[in-house]
Amino acid sequence: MMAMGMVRLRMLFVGLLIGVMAAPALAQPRRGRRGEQPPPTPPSAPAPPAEEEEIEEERWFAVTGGIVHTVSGPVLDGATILCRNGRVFAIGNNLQVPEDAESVDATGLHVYPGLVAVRSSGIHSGSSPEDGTDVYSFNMSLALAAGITTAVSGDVAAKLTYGTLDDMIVRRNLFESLSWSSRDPGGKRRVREGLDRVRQYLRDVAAWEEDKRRNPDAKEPDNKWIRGQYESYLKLLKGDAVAVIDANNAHELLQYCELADTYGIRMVVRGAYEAWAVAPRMSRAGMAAIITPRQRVDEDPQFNRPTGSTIENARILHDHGMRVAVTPVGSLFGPGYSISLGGLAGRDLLHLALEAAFAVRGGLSNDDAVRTVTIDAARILGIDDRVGSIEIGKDADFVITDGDLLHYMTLARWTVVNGRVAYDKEKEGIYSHIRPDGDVNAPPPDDYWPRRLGEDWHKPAPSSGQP
Amino acid sequence: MNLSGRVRFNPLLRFMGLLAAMGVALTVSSAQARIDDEKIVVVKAGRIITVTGEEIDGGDIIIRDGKIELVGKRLEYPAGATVVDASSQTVMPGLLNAFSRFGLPNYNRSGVHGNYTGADHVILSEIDFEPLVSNGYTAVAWCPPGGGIPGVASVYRTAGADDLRVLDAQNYLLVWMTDPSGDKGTLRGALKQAQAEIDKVEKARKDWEEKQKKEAEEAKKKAEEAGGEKKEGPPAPAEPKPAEAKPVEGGKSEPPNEEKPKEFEPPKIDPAHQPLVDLIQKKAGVKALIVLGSASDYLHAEDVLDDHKELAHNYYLRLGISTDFHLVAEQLGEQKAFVLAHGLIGRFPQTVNRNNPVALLIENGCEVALTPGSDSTFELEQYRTRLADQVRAGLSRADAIRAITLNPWKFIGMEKKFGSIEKGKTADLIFLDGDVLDPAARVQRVMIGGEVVWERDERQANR
Repeated sequence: MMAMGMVRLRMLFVGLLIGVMAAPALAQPRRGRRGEQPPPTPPSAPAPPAEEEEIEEERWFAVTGGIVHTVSGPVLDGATILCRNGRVFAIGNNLQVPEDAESVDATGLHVYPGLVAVRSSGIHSGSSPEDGTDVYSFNMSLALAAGITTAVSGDVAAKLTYGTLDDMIVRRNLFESLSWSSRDPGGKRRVREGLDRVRQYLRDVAAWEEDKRRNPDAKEPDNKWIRGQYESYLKLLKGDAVAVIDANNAHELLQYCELADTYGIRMVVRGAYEAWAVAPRMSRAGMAAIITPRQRVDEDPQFNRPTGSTIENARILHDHGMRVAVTPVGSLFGPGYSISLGGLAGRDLLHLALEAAFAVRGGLSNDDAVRTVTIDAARILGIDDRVGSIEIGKDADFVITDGDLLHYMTLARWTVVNGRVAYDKEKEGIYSHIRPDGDVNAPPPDDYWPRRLGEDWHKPAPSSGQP
Repeated sequence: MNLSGRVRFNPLLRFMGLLAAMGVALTVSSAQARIDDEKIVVVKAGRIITVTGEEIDGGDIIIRDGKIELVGKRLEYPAGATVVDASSQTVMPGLLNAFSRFGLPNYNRSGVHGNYTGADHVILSEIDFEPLVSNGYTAVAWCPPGGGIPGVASVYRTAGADDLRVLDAQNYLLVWMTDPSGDKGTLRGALKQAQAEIDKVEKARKDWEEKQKKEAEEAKKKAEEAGGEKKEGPPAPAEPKPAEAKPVEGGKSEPPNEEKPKEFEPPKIDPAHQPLVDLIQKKAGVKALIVLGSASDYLHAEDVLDDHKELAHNYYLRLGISTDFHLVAEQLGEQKAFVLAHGLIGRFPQTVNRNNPVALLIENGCEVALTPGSDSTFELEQYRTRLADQVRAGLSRADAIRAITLNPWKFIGMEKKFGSIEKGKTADLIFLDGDVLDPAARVQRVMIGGEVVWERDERQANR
C-alpha cells in the first residue's frame, strides 16, 4: 500500500518537475563530491531524467507545515518542502513524505532560504575552505545560529557544512579585483593603460578572425604577454568575470562608474557609504553594491556636495534599480565589511539579519531587505542558481525561525545546510535557554549567565560547612 | 665502564639492597646461576597485574633468560635462582611511551621526510632517562621532530644493556594533520609522489621485460639460423615473467652461448617517500600514525584517505582541555579504530561539562592506547594520576590498565613480546609500592629482561 503510494507519488513528482519547472536545475549533471560544477556539457546532450541519476543512496529531508518564504516567489502558508540529496525536490501542501526521510516539524514557524554572507572571516579557512575548515568550530555554530548557510571566504563561496566536508564549495573565483591605491597618482592611469592594451588585443583578435577567412596565412596576435593582471583584464573585458572594488566616497565611485562605462566592465562595489549621493550614475553604470546600512560616517564640510553616510543608503540604491547586498561592518583586524568574530565589531557575526533590518529602518521594504541577505546577495556573487531562494532544484539551505527574519527577537530554531540539520537550537547550547518554548512574552531566564555552563554551576558546594 | 649513557644507578646501592632483601646465601647462588647458561630469576610479588589474566595476590613470576616462564602462586623454582623479593610491591609490565620526543632536539621542519627516523636524532649518551625510568616507562617510541611527515618512529628501551636497547628502529610513519590547511596538501602530495614512484618502477620493469623478450627472440632466431642442424635446445619460449617475481635464473634454456639473464635493477625510489610506497603496497608491519588535534581534523584525514582506503593507519588524538572528539567517536567506533590518545579528562567545548573521550571511544568500540600528554617530567609523573581520574569518571579499571600496558605495545605491533605478564613475554617489569591507580604509589624498581636495572634511591623514596 505504502509502496504503491510511493510509486504514484514519484510519478506525480516527475510530472510536476517536467511539466511545471522544465527542470532547468535538475537537468544539470550531478555535482562532484566537492560540489564543484563539472565542465559545461553541450546543450544538445540529452538531460538524464531526475529519477535515473546514479546515486548510491537517496537522502530525503523534509520541512513540514512551515510558513515558507520562498523569496523569489509567494509566501506559502503551511507548505512542506521535500528535499532529496541536498536539493529541493518538491514544495507544496499535502506532499507525502517518504518514510525514511529526516523531517523537522516547522508548524507555526517561518522558513527562509539560508542567508548568504557576502564576505566573512573566522568561519572557513582561507581560500581553500574544503582543506582546512574546522567543521565543528564554535564560530560555525554561531554563524549557523544567525541563519547563515553560505559565506564567502577569500574568493570562494562555501557552505557552512557543519560536521561534514561534503558539498562545501559553491563557487570559486567569484571576483577579479580591480583597484588602485588612492595614494598612487599613477595607479588609475596604469589600470586604464592595461585595459586599453587588452582591449586593443581583443580588437586585433576579432580582426584576425575576420582576416582568416580570406587569408589563411594571417598571423594570430601575440598573446604571450596576457598573464597575471592582463589575464584578469581579459576576463573582465570579455564579460567572463565581475570586478570587485572597495570604494566609499562619491569621488571614487564616479571614477569607477566612468571606468565601467568606458570598458563595459561589470562591477560590484564594497563599502559605498556615499553611493546614495551618486546613485543614478552608479545605476546607469550597472553597478551592484555591498553596503552596511548601520555604518556612520559624518559629512565632510570641505566639500560642497553631499557627503557622509545615511541609513537610507540601501533604500535609495534599491529605488534606483541597483542590486544591493547587506553585510555587517566587520572587524578591525579582519577584512572590512564582513561577518567575523574578531575585533571590536566581531559580534556582528551573529547579526546579519539585523543588519538587513537597519535597511528597513532606512526605508527599504521588509521583503526587499530580506532579499539583500538572500537572493540579491547570491546574485551579486553569481551563485543564485544554487542558493538564495527556496525553489525546486536549488540547494536545500533553510533557516527556520520562530518569527519574522528581521525581527530583533527572532531566533533560528533549525538551520539546514544541504538537506542536513546543521544547527538545532535545542541541542546547541548557544540559545537553547532563551525562550525555550518560543513564547516571546516569557520572562527572561532568572539564573546566571550562561546556562550552557550546566545546572547549578554557580551554586556553592553543598557540604562546605562554612557560613 | 661508561655509565653516562645508561640509567644512573649506584651498583653498590643496588648490591646493598639485594643483600638486605635476600640475604647473603641467595646472592651467592645468584652469582653461581649467572655462570650457568640458563639464568633464572624469581620475582616474589605482593601483587601481580598480569593485564591479560587475573590479578594475583601474593604470586611468583619465574623468569628464564629474560623471558617469563611461569606466573602463579607458590611456584617451585630451582635452588640456584635469583630471588627478587617484592612482597610489599605491585608488579606490572613496563610502560611504553608510544609517542615521544623525549630528549630529542627541536626542529621546525616541514615537508616529507620518510627517510628520517627518531633514532637518527638520538644520542643515547646525551639523554638523562631518569624521568622516564622513574615513572615506569621501560620503552619509548621516538618520533622525529618537525611537522608535515617528519619520518619514522624508533622504539627503544629506556634502560638496560646497550645491545638490548633498540627494539625496532623503524616503526610507524608519523603524519601530522593538526593543521589541515597545510598538512592535507602535504599528505596528498606525498601519496601522489609515492604512487608516481611505484609507477616509475613498474614502467621500468615492463620496459626491461620487453627488452629481455626481444633479446631472447633475437637469440633464438640466431640460434635457429646458426645451429639449425643441432636442434638440441628446446623451443625455449621467452616466458613473460609475472610482474612481482624476480627473474629466475636459468628459466630459459638457451643455447650455451647465451649469458645468464641479468637481474632486473629497479630504479631507485626516493627514500623520503619509501615508507609511503610501502604503505600503498601494503607491506606487512608498515603503518602510518596520523596526528589529529580536533574532530574536524579526523574528517580532513579521512577525506585525503578516501582514495587510499586500504592504507594502514592509526590515529593519535591529541586531547586538550577542551576536546570535541566526542563528535566523531561514533565514526571512529564504526571503523573499529585503534587510537592513541592522551589520557586526559577535558571538557566539552564552550562548557564546563566534563568530557571523558577515552571512555567514550572505548564505549563506541575503539581500542585505545594511552600516552602522556607531553614529554615534561610533570606529565610523565601525572600519567597514572590522570588515568585514575578517568577511572573515576567512568572508564573501567581493566580497560584503563590495558590502555597503558598492552595496548601501546599492540599499537606498535610488539604485543607478542611485551605488554603483559604471561608466559613467553619479555620480563620488562616495574615494581610499584602501591596500586597502579594510586597517585601516591611510586615506581620502586625497574626490571629489564629479568634484571633489575634501576631502583629508587633512599632519598627519593622518602620524598
